[in-house]
Amino acid sequence: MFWQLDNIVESDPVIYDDTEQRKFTYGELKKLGCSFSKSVESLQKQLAFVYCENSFRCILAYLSLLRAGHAVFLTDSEIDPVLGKKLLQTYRPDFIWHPHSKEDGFPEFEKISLEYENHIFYRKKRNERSPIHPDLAILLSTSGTTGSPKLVRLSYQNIQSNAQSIVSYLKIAKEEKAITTLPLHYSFGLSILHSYLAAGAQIICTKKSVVEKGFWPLFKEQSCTSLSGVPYTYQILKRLRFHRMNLPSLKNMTQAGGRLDPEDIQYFLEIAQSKNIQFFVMYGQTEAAPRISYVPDNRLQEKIGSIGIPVPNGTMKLVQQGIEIFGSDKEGELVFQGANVMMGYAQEKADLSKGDEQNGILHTGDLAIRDKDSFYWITGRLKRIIKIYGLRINLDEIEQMLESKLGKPVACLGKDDILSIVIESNETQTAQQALQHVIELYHLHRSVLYAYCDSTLPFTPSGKKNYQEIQSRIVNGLL
Amino acid sequence: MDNSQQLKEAFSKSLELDIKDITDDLAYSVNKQWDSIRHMNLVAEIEDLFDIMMDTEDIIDMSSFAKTKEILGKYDVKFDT
Repeated sequence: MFWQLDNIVESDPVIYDDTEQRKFTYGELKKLGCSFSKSVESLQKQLAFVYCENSFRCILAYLSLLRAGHAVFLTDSEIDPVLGKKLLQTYRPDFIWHPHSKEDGFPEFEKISLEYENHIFYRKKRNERSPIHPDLAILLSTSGTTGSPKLVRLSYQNIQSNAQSIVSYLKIAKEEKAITTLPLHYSFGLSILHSYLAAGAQIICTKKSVVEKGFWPLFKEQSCTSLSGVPYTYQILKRLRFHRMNLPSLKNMTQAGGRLDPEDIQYFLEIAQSKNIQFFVMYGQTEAAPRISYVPDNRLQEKIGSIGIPVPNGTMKLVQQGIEIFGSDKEGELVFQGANVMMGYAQEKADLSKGDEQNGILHTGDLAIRDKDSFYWITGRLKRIIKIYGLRINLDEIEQMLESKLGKPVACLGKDDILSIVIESNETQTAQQALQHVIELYHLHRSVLYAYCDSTLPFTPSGKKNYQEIQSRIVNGLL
Repeated sequence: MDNSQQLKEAFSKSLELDIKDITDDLAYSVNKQWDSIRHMNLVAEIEDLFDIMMDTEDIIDMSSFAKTKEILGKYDVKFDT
């Protein structure tokens, strides 16, 4: 298991911490980790909250808790206070690690000081006897902003298996250095840490973002070999005129966390080809710890827009009404099977005692087709559902209702308690009519609704409404 | 409207801040509203507003309101104050 740091070379560097401006070896990480683990050891498996930041001390705290056998929930150190409180009340952790010392932050906890740089854990003064399943390793939130305390339960086997799969298809060698462009509490960011540790490779920890002064000098100084990002990161890189940046140490780039525009993929692919960089487009879900599939870099040119093939140790199939579909170019729900599929969800503390409920099978909720080369392509979501004030809102249903009432093409999009409606129309009063219909039928508050008119709604080459483009028009204030 | 006022409005719109909060010492990541996402919106807004294409180094260097005015000077956007 990678967090035990058993097969490491003690003198190899593991982390460079940009904030501390200090390099740590695997030996140091292991030694400090063992000492930390002893301070948090207990007879019974307990629950820890780790409020993440991109730093050595955070990784140290996280690995120590794993090594001590506790279950760890990784969350944002800048979490919305309301949601943060709700999570604390729902899951009642026994340990807390927070990057900033909080005098009055956790009243029911006492501080345990550790022999490193004023490092502390918070331990609950009175712990409760709430059983936690022995296989449970970590808990992650699928979305940090929806206000839902629903968490994904991942086992030791899940994270170990996915880390190994990633090492094997990205061929991560111990000389490689990844820089932290994503937070650790985000499954993609965490998987980079896991896979680099599994490979005995290095992580460059920084709190700076790619648009911040100091990030690129650090990248060069430390000779980082890998850069990872979500679609938005790549859009920023493109705006930063990435093709003009001179990064001789860069050997591979990975993209996941959503669909990147084919045009942007082409842009980065061309740069990758001319500068001898490997560019991997990947797909995953937190529920799969998280990697599900990837496009082998030498096939990307012909497979732009595809999510690729399953990761090693995983299989994918398409299912329609419970029956597997064979043959190419037929649409069905994408179902993934592998040792990295979560144990299940948790809604409350008692759920942490539950065992595996998935049997290695994950219904992704994404619709896909498989081409003749067995590459998969996402075609849509099984159900486009958003939640507003805890109400489940089916976007397709609202869309159809409005199209029939208004007699015009309509696109409904939703995000974080907001429903946006875009009508293909040049008359602004149509937007008002649409709002009236939605308010009347769904009793939604005016403040969560936005309606726009667009002279022509964009469609994808396959003839479906291009929600991504519509979303970007809204975000960019074009409507 | 002069350039300074136009720039303030671009900041206010992109960073979703009140216009009175746009002062010379407004700085990236010190004000939580000014994150990487809004930073890029701001760059787009400024490029459109003054019809310029900024260099990578300048986009990264644009770390405060005062610094932004200084950088824009290189692109012949002049400010009175």
